[in-house]
Amino acid sequence: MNNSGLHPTKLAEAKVEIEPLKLPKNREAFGELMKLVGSCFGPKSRLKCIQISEESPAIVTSTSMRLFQYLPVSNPYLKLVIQAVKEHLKIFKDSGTFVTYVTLNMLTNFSNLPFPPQLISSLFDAFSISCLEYLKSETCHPKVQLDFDSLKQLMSVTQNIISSKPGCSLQDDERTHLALQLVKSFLHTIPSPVVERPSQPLHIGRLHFTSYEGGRVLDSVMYPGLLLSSKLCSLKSLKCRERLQVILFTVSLSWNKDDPFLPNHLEYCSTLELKSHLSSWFEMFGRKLIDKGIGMVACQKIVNIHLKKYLEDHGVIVLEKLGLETAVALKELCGRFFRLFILLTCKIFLNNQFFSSNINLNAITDYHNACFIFQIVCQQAVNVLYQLLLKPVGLYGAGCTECHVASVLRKQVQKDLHIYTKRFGCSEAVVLSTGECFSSCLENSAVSLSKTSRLNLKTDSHFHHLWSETPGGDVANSCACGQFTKTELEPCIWYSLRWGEMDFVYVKDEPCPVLKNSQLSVKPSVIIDGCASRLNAYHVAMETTSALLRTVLYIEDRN
Amino acid sequence: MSEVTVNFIKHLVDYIGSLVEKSYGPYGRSSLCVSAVGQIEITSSGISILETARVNHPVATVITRAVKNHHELVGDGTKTFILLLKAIFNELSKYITESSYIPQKQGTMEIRTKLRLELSNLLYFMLPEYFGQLRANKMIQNIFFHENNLPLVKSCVQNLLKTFLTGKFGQLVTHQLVELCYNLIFFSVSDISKFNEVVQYLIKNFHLLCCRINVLPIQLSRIVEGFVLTRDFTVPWKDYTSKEEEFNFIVILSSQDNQSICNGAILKITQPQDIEMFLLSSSSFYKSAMKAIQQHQIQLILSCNSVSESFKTLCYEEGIAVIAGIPREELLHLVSLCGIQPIICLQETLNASKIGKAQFARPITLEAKWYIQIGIKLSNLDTLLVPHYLVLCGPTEGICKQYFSESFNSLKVVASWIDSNCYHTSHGVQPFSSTSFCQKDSSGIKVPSKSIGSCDISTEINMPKENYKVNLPVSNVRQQSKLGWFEETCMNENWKIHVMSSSYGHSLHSTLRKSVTEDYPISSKECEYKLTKMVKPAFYLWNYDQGVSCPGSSFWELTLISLLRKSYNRATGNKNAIAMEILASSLFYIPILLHKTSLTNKQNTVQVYQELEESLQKSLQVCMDGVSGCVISVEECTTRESVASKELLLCNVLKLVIQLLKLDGIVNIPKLPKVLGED
Repeated sequence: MNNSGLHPTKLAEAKVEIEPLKLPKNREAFGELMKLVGSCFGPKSRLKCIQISEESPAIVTSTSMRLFQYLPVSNPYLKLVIQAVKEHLKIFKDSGTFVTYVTLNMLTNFSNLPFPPQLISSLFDAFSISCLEYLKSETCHPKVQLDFDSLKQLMSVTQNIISSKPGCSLQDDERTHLALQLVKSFLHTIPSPVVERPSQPLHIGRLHFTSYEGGRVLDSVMYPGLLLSSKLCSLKSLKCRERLQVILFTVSLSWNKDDPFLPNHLEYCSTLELKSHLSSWFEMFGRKLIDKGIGMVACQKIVNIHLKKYLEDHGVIVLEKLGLETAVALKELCGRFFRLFILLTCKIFLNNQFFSSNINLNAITDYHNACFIFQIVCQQAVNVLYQLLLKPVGLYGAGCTECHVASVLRKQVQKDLHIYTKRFGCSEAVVLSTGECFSSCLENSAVSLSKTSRLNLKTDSHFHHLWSETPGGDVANSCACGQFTKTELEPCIWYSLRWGEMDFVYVKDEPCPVLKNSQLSVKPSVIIDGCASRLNAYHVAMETTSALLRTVLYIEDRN
Repeated sequence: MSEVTVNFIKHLVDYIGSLVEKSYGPYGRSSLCVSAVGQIEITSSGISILETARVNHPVATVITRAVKNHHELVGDGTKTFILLLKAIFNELSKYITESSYIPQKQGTMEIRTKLRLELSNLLYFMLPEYFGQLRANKMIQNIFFHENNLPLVKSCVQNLLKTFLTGKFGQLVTHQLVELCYNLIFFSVSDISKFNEVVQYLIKNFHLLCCRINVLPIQLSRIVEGFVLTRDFTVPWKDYTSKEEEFNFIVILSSQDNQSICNGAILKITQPQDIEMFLLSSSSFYKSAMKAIQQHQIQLILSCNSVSESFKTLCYEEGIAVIAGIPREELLHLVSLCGIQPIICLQETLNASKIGKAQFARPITLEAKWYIQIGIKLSNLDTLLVPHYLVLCGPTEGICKQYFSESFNSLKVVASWIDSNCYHTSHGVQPFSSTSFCQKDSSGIKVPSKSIGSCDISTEINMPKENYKVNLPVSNVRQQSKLGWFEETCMNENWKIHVMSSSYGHSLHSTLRKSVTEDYPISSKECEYKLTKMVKPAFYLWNYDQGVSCPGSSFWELTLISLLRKSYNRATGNKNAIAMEILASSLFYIPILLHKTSLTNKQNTVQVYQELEESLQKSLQVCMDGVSGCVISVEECTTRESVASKELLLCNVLKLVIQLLKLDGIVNIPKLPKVLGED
């Protein structure tokens, strides 16, 4: 307290750090997360176990969705990167680890370059624009047109996604079976041209996934219809039926004083015996439903216990607490006759014989954590299939796209060297070095995917796809994605991957990669990534890196 | 209580300046700011940095408030504000320490009073003149918002936006944002003469005309036609098809405390059959409402509250789309755009004033949420704008928020370029905000009139018939600067206009002189008629707004330094010489800083300083190159800035300096933070 008697307001001083990207603590944090994410990348990835607290169960996963849901992160840079990844996953559900890895790799390598930071970030932006423009262009070689009529291609895409999640712990036949079920389910949601209501627009059906613990994966199956939990109704009223009429209430049928049905205001005379009046009202209401031949009463919220008992006693199935999503799904099924099955004593299966817009995939696994991973894998695979439905374009997977784009960028930087030097007022060495850094970062993600040493990887001189070396020192028979075989590309020169930003001198020897060849058809077993999700992943990675590279100060308000 | 010395303030502004210095210029860098609640933001905005840093000092609070006020008005210049303030206090401190004219007693009120008076004189008397001289510079571009000048207006706006946004984000983003902001403005403008009103409208309603999508990259941002309504519930629009032809719609806006809009009945249960009666009456109510709706061929109902399921079902059966849960503010904006009245309840009688016309309604998904895009048919022929909507995408919420706020600020930058907006501030006309156009005399500061004036043509009795007076009340320097243009525009083979100043200094009269031979007979009435015909179009243009811009990269600052240096000379005993010298030296800091934050920084600072001095001595028009940091001729400059915002910034900085020099002491001074980079 001072002389004037005023209480001073004590505010903590803000924490300010200069050049935060160069600080050891941030670099270590980037390195740690990059190592973690790099090991969770691709089909050869390794699982991670996360335990948030002593009371909570351990989570075993390699998927970015689960990883970032539970991974505790305090570093603000990493928080921002993870936030960007989460936003990407909200829509695309795929390529989360790719975004994280590429962003962190670029951030680490570019902030290490010994050039003025403004110049580095300007050059980074220029290269990002070139890279993204190439990926969007028609001459982009890795972009492949998929034939939606080819089941093999759809299976290939789906299997690729399932393979990238080792947490599923699947054998080959299990993987194939699950992929088949997923593709089948997906195809079932696409309505046929002949529908009963031709004047209405066509809508894609809903696909629900339920997973079980204990059982064989090969028993996973698809059901065209709606699968509901039996907790929603009492089992005694259940029996298999056909041609069921359903009435759906989206308001509460609990009828207590605070939760009125239909009218928004309820006034009643205090002398009136409300309870008995209501129960007789419910009986009257229930009688009306039975008289109309209603076989099932479904309620999004709660059904009054007296009403429920009355209806069940008269053989009407009552489902309550459906929730919004199930109610909407049921609403779409409404209006037709139903078949009712009881399944596995714990699920009720509703099926519309004529028009199934709801599909349920029952995925079975034998251990607890895999249930969650199954859900994620199924959602991811179907999401990619829907994206392909909108635009049937894919990108070569297994790192071939990244290697190809890296080579294209190298050649483009060399070709436009004078433009860059003039525009940015710097030397050729700076431009080439920074360009090489950018290309190396792309290749690093391919190296991380293959889980091999950089020494054992090569690119071909035609398309610059990624090839691994056999233990004998020869190049493998086919490239990483499987599109090209060694014999197809001969004669061919094999180039080793670069080591870093100072290796730009070797670029001059390499020929420019072949661009789009429309006559090149995609082989059925090629590893393909969904184009939309991967393109967005590139965008997000580069935009986030660009924003973070430009930071010179870190300011934290500690109040 | 502790005394506040100039050195003390200098140390504080040095610290504040060090926070924003590295973010200055076209190649300035950003700061990663983490707020008290953990929100992460990457920004180069001076005010955001200051607010996060939250310098714990009352003087810092005063400075932050002044910066914030300036930012709210103009949308730009906060870093320049802080750095100029820093430079001025550095010079003031140096002067006080080194001066040999006054007793060397740092912090004495006499010295500060003297400095304050000189700075006040400079601010209120001398700067307006210098600004006028600057505006007369041939590099200053005046563009009237007239149809003939549309390409020039567009080019200038693009340059302004590019100059503003280049320093904020990398190239990956800047180009996209410039295009989006540019398109939003020019897609919305239907008549270029109303450019100012459209820009003001966009600024006022930007939060309703832009939505942020925190998932997609910026490349997927776009401008869509019409207006986009957000919805609050998850039942998808897919139940309803797009409507691509014209149709009628109504807007239901109930009062905020009335939650039920379609039911309206209060059920009194006295007997069991009352429930049945209620259900029957509700049903008939809906049916009668539906009749009225069908009568007026309404195909879309928009409501801010929930709508009962029964009514929705009834509408669905009749092919009428119902969208409920739309934010109230959006619906209010929509009705004001369309010029219709909303209805409170379906019981209301429908008429033409309550029915809007739409050209299309399309469901669109953004970030997996449903939105409705409506193309509005505006009822007024004399419409202000063509409605468009900006969909802004970014990879994270924090980054997208930055794009949003800088897009908003870019509109303010364009508004500040429009000259007449000097008088129109969000806080009303303030004498301090437009000091460049104020005249100060013994009666106090005169605020210029808002009205442009009217053209009053009259003939004076006893005047020779060749002379006709056109009274154009001109009350400020801005209009005075237009007179040269006015003379040229009104030039005619038979008539010439001469502009004469009256002794009052506030109004000028134009006298038309007939240059034809004296024996050409012409009646006064005919003369008057010809005069009106000739003057009226020119006068109409006189009333057009104009945009005044100058080359960027510190051209304006260097030109002002040149003017100041020509004027002051201590030897002649110029009373305000010290203040002018301090200001000139402070302004020099800006081009030097541009050199330091350039991309490649080719020359060293001493060389640049020398080159600038030489150019000023030779009165060459130069500026700084953002890439190399070298001095270049102004003809090579590709950036443009608003003149009015420059003038306003300088005036506001000087005003703050004067205010801080008045500070006597502070109660309970906390410890000053260290300047960044100091050991």
